[in-house]
Amino acid sequence: MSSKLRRALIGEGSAPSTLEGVLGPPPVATREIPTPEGVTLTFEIASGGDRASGFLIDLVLIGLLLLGCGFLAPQLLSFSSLLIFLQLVFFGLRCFYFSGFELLLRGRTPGKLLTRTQVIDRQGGPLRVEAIFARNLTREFEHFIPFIVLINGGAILPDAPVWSGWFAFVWAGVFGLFPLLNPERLRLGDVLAGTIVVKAPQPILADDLGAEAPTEDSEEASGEEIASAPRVHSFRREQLERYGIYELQVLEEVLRQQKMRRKTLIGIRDRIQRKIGYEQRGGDPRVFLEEFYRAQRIFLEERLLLGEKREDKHAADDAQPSREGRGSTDEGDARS
Amino acid sequence: MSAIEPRSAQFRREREARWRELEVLVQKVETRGLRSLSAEQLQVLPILYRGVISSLSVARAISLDRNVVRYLEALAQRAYFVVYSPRRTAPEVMTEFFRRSFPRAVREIRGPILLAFAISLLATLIAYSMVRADLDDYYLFVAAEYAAGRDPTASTEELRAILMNEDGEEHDGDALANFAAHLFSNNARIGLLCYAVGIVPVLLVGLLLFQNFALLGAFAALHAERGLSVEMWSWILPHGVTELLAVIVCAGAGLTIGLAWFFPGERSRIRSLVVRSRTAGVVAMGSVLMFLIAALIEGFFRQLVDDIPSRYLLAASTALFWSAYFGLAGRRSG
Repeated sequence: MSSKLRRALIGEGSAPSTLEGVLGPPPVATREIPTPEGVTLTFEIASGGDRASGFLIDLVLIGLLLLGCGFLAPQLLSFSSLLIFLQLVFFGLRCFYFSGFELLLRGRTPGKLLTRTQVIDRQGGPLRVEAIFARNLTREFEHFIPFIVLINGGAILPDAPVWSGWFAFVWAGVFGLFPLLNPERLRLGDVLAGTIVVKAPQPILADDLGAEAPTEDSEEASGEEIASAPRVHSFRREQLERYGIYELQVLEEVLRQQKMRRKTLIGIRDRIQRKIGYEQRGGDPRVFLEEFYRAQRIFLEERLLLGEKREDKHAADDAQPSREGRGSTDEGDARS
Repeated sequence: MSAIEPRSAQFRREREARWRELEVLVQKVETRGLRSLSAEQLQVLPILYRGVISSLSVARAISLDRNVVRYLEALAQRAYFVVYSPRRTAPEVMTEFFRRSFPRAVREIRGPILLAFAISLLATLIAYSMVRADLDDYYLFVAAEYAAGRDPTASTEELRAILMNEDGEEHDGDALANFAAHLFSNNARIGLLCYAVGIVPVLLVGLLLFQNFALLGAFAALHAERGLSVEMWSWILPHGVTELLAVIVCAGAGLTIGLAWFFPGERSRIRSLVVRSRTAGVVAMGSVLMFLIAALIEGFFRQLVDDIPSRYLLAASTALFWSAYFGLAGRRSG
């Protein structure tokens, strides 16, 4: 449905590769947490890819720290004790790296900072020390022990049979893939600790596209059309009735992309002009689209106040007073 | 249709300053802690937060500007955590952990810890009596590479030499530090292993514990055979009190998790696991530090002091310390 809508709005095959980027990834899994104020906050669950890359970054960092100690220590220690020293450092990192960072950085490790993810309590309560310990101690069981067995079967239990390596491999595989098997991407440690990893919220407030008419200071606009700004276009009621909220917000996304190709914008402009039967074809695409966006939004928001929520262009015209649920409330888009 | 502004633009213009204000405060708390706020800022923080929450619910209803709704959502989420789970500094967390959380958690799971203790005691006694009856059984419990010369073929004099630091090893500080480090990671690994394997097969904890303590029993039997019991215990106990206690406590934590799964009681299995494993996690983390203390005692004190009374004195005082700590610390509510 939605891909059909996108194509319908933007026109097929005008510039597919750019458009995929414009519209962003499909809706993502979310976790709703009710606040005591009675408003539900919608957290976006971190994807398997985010989790894996965060973990790998942390592992690489641990490796680098060890390597750094290996290079620095020979100046301070005799060679024979170097190995033991490194063992101690490794042990310390293994026990305290994840817990320490998550304690100090509010549920984030360097890997999580880079992937913009964060550990929170699954019920929305404070992230307790106990939970941090519980979720990180199980890493021992999930990753470290099987990997050690994989490398050296005798390290954990002497006289380990040959197949213990294979067993460890399957073991690590099962627990490594565990997050992919449940919708909330919980690791075993998350289950035990009652935590969940979400995308760290990034509040970015861009300029309001509807606040004022498009003006001269839009940089890449070429000279001659701009001369006739601020308001070149006007729309009639029936022209604004063609589209709904969904199309409006896709258009918002398009307009917020700074590096949108002019050719793409022209494609969208022509498409819209044809659809609404706009008389004066042509004109600067960005100016047209911004003014259309603005008029459309004023129109739709006014109707919203009257209790008419027009979801998209396929919605029957007046036969539906506010169908709650979809629309602006749960448009959980990944990019922020 | 030359109109006024969209209503949502007006809505935003009226409130934006306050949103920005909250954004700054949240940023400040996140980077520098709640204490970096002035009294005045602390007072407005919850007010601003509630403002944003209400802006969010209004925006969801009236605004078709997706950017604003998303911004408010993200800001409200961040502020929510700042308001409802204020950040504590690292020293505060550590103090709280050692003064209350750790001893409390240990008391809370004393059942499984006692079970682990029983298994350990049993293992020690069984191995002891078997080795006393037939010295060759020593090899059943102690792997050759672990024994490092301390097996039935060694002469009494050799055994005594190891116990009393007469083996001619160098005792300079550097070597001792490394020895401590080495032991630290070895012993703690056994404990953490006990914790880790408790998650799925409870039986494995028993097995590991049994193996570990049978070793102790066999070792004790060998020395008793040669009339070296007093020296041997003086060698083991100063650090052993702490270390064996830590192993038992860790195993208790592992058993707790396993038992929470098999016997969830009135809770659902998952909920029971969550509740118990949080406690067990605290215990396991605390016992890592017990291992550190044990290794320090073993690495430094025992190698430097070789008269028997002061070794027993240290062993007794660690035992006293731990029982007081686990018995009393953090009892008062707070």
